[in-house]
Amino acid sequence: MAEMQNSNPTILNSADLPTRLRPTATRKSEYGGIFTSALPLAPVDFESAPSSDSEDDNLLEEPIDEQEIYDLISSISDPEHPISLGELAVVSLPDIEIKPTLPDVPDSPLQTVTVLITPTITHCSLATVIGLGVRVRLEQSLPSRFRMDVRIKEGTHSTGDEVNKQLADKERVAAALENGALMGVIAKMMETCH
Amino acid sequence: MSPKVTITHLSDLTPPSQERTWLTAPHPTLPLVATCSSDKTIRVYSLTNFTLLSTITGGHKRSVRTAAWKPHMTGESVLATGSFDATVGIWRRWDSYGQEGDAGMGMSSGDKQIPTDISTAASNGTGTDTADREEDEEEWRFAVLLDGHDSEVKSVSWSASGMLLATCSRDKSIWIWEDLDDGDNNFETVAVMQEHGGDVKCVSWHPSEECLASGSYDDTIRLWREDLDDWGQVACIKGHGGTVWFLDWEGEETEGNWSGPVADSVSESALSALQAQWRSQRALSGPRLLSCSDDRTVRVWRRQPKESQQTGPLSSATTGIPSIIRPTGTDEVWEEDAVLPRAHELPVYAVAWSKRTGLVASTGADGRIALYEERFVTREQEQEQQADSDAMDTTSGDVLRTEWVLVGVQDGAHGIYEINHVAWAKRADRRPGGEEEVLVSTADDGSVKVWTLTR
Amino acid sequence: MSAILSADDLNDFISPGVACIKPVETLPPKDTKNQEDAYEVTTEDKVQPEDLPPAQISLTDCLACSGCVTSAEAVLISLQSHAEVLNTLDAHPEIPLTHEPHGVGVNNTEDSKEGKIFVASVSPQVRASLATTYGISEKEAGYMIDQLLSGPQGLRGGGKHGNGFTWVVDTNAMREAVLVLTADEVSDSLNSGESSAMSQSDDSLPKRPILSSACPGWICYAEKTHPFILPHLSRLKSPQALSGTFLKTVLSKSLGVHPSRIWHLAVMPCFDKKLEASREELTDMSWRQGDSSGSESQPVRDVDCVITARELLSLASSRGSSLRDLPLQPLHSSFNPPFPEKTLDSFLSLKRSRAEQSLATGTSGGYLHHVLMTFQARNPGSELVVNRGRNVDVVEYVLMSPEGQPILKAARYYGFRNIQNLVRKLKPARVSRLPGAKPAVRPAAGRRQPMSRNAVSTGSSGSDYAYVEVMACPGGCTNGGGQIRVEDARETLGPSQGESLDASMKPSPHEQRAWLARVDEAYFSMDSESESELETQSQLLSLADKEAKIHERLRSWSEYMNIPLSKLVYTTYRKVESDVGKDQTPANDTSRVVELAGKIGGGW
Repeated sequence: MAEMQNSNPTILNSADLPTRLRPTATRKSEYGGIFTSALPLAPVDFESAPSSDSEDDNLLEEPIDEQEIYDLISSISDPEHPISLGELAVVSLPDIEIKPTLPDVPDSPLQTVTVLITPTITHCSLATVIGLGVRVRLEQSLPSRFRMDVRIKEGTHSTGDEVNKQLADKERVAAALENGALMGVIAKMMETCH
Repeated sequence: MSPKVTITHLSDLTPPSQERTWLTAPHPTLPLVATCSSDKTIRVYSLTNFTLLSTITGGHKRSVRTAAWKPHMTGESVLATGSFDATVGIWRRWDSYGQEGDAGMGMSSGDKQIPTDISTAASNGTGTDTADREEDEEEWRFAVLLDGHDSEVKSVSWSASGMLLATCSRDKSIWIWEDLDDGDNNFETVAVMQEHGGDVKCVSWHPSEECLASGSYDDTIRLWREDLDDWGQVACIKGHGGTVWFLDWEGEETEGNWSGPVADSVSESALSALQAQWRSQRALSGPRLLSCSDDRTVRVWRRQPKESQQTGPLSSATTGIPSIIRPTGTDEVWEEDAVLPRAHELPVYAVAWSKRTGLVASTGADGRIALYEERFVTREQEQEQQADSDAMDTTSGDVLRTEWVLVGVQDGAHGIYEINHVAWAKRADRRPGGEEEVLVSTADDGSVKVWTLTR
Repeated sequence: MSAILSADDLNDFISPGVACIKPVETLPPKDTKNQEDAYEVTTEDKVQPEDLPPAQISLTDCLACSGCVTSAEAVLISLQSHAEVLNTLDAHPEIPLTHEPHGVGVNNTEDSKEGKIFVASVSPQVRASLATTYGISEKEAGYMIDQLLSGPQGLRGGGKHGNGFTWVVDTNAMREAVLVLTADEVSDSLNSGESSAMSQSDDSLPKRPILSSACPGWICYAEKTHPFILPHLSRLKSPQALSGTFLKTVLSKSLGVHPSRIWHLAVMPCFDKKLEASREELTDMSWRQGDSSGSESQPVRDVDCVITARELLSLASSRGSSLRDLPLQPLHSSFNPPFPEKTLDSFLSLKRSRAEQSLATGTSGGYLHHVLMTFQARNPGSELVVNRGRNVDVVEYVLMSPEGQPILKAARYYGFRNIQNLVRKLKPARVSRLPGAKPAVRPAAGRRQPMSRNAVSTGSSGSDYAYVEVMACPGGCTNGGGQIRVEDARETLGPSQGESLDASMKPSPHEQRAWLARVDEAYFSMDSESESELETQSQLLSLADKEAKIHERLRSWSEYMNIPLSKLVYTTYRKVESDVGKDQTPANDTSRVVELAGKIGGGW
């Protein structure tokens, strides 16, 4: 098998090691992605942000909200067709939610982003790939204190529960990110992002 | 009032990996640990000074997920590693720890501060640092790569005797290998078990018998034993509502190990008596099994003693026809012994049951380390409980009941990062060395932290 | 023993492994699915009508990882079902045959050109399975199957055309040929060169040790996972494949009918045989000479459909036939026409003599046993030493000369876990990747005997063997994944044993072992069906004489067809390369997506 990282020759527009971008003081945008710097599209590598979590809080920023999440993921293309997930209504703004991860720990900066996906066909086997793509995109773009919860919207897929379990399994996702072929497909899906 | 335990940060292992670290395996006898990282390396650190001793690279093509030390090795350390590249690596290194008069090859700088089991003091100190460091690079020898699994290896575990190695994978199978110990690093496949319905996340051997426990993505825990010349499932424990991430066995009763649950306001002699009574009541069940899951719970399981599996009127003994109604002689029945107090609101990735103190530690996606203690339920408490609820307490006065109590919590132990693993290890950074234990936690940002406990 | 349990039939497709690399096979033209259509994710739904049973592959069945079978393949295999048999019988009238003085021929005036000739071949393990299920003898089980497939009260009792199978043959016949040819192959291998490391003078000869090739699970696994094994595989076709070749060649020639109009059903003990039937190498392309009708047409499979013993039960009940009620008698001659080519007829009626199948041969045909017997016969005074390996499915044999010199070493390796160890022994030594590291030293000779915890010496390294019989299923083919299980048998027989049966309760390993032992017993009890004195005399023939007879028959077959024997009996294997993750196909994003779409959970 090919070595996973940096194996996809078609995406060479970013040379840096993949990092989670810090929530620098960028403006919200009405169109396109929020982060102006080039997003590394090579498979993610959970590079540690500054080890102290207090640094995240120091930065002046507008809190990341659902609209920004939507902007990040709506431009991902469907793996099979050159149409974006937003256009296919696979992702939609009302199906995005941000909540504190640990409500019982008030000091915790952790936030959980829940994205509900509506696959185009009810038994589409690529639902997991799409879900993975959304997850990867968000993990690459958001600061470390954000946790992703990507799920199939209830009632929209014949094996929704199974897909959700798979998408929620940290170990599976981590291993998937080391699968060159899969990452190639996902990288292609994210070519239309920015 | 149950006395609380304070978890205090002692040190980080330095320098850490820069990428997610999955697991830390404490050496069975030496003050060392091995950590497994997504950067495809295994790092060996000293617990005496918390610094890096060696880095094992080049063996695996993808993340290293798991590692385990082979038990009962003297003079040599053998490490098994499991990787997302679907292979299991076996590594060897000559030990110089504890060898008298040996100041030679393989001694790394970290050795110099160990408590003196080494009779000669010549190994301590002067001038040989750089030479030893160069030798560090060659310390670890690659022995063999075991392949066979179709997808990522999730866990590896050595049996109590060290003769068997169990490995498991996303391919839903568990392989048992025998280390032929022939000087040629040959391992043979003994069995391949494919009963699980999903990834097998962890395997863990019984502390003394050749009985293997496995936890899976299919939400079950299964137990395996050898029957005639093949390995088969003897029990399937269903109860968890989600993936079972980790398993650990209760320590067996041996010198220096945990003697039993505790109780407040009871004299020492009375406590010993209680503990002895409790142990004898449980002797037939054998050590219990601890598990943690996606369902946010930590549970303890206990085997029903063999005598309670009755032979009924339809048994083969009476009719001569093999019966399908009752479990056969080889099957075991396990029941839920306890659900620990809920301390996590996100998946629990690992648990560790201290063999020395009986304390249970758990950790998970919420970045929290929780500690639990098993305590006897005293007569007063029992009566209170009975008065409080209408629940029928069917236990007779003779059977000792215990309960688990949350005694310590450390939130955000690694800041905002998820903690993947937690393990108990003998403390080694102080002289004279005692029997104190430390807790070692491993997180997504690559950091590995060592904690002490105080009451 | 968990290995016996083939009860892991899934109601869904198996979750594939990390990268399934087995190519999607194409079906004969009637199926619309091809590579392009596979792009559509919804293919599996379109192809599968509701009444088809769910894909039934058991994990313990197939060696090729828990995920070798892609959704596409699972479809392919699910199309070979008892329903398919009935559909085919109903879709085509039988080609009418006339019984002429010189034999059987086609009645051309009545042949509508839509018709087909239906033939079937049945494996002995299936008969054993049926015999155990119904408490009858193996011979009677054979009659039962004949009656079902060909007789008036069987399949012919229903359906659009009242079709049945004209000829039902026993795969034992062709197996005899494979046994003899295997011994030949091993002889040639030993004669052609001493060193196994050197390439032998005859390039087509397999490398030593020669590994048996009759088990399709093993082949599939080797092709996908351990391509270095391929040069060791015996070139011979399996008895199923050879039966197919025989039937298609001889019938098409003697009846003047295109092979595509002959529909061959095989009844086998496992599902992997369905995979074998769909192999590209096992079609008329490998034996057909260029002739007028050959060039443009689609390849015709030697075996069109495989059903398992369990599916035979479904076949009967779907047609409303009760197997128990069939007469356990040979077919009446009107339903049992002679084979069109008289001299070759005798080939098919080769019967096994009593007690040739025993524990020594195993339940998978006895390839190894035959090789050993052959060599023992050629070396008078030699003695066979048997060494059991770490478990009952690994056995080593050494043929010792009277002077105590080993003449031949061979072994049997059944079951996945044991095959792992065999494969490891044969693996070319791996070069360590670590710079300056000291890899484990592997001396080529003089290895210390490793002592395992079972205190059994595991014996020689792989290259010492001349031949190894490899089977995927522990216990051999009687334990195949498609055999009738003890719980199925209970359902079939009904609660007649005075015990309340809970069919959903899984039987214990003990019960399964007991059941398997009974099936084995039935298998070993196969006796000669000879009734004439002439036949009894054949029991007295020596091994060499029997061998000669078979060689002669093979020769006549080859001559009759005017095709070299090697084209009829040999096949090839191909390394299945993974193209997942390889960079040289950058334009193939679509194929990657297709690949992922075909896997459950997207393949991760």
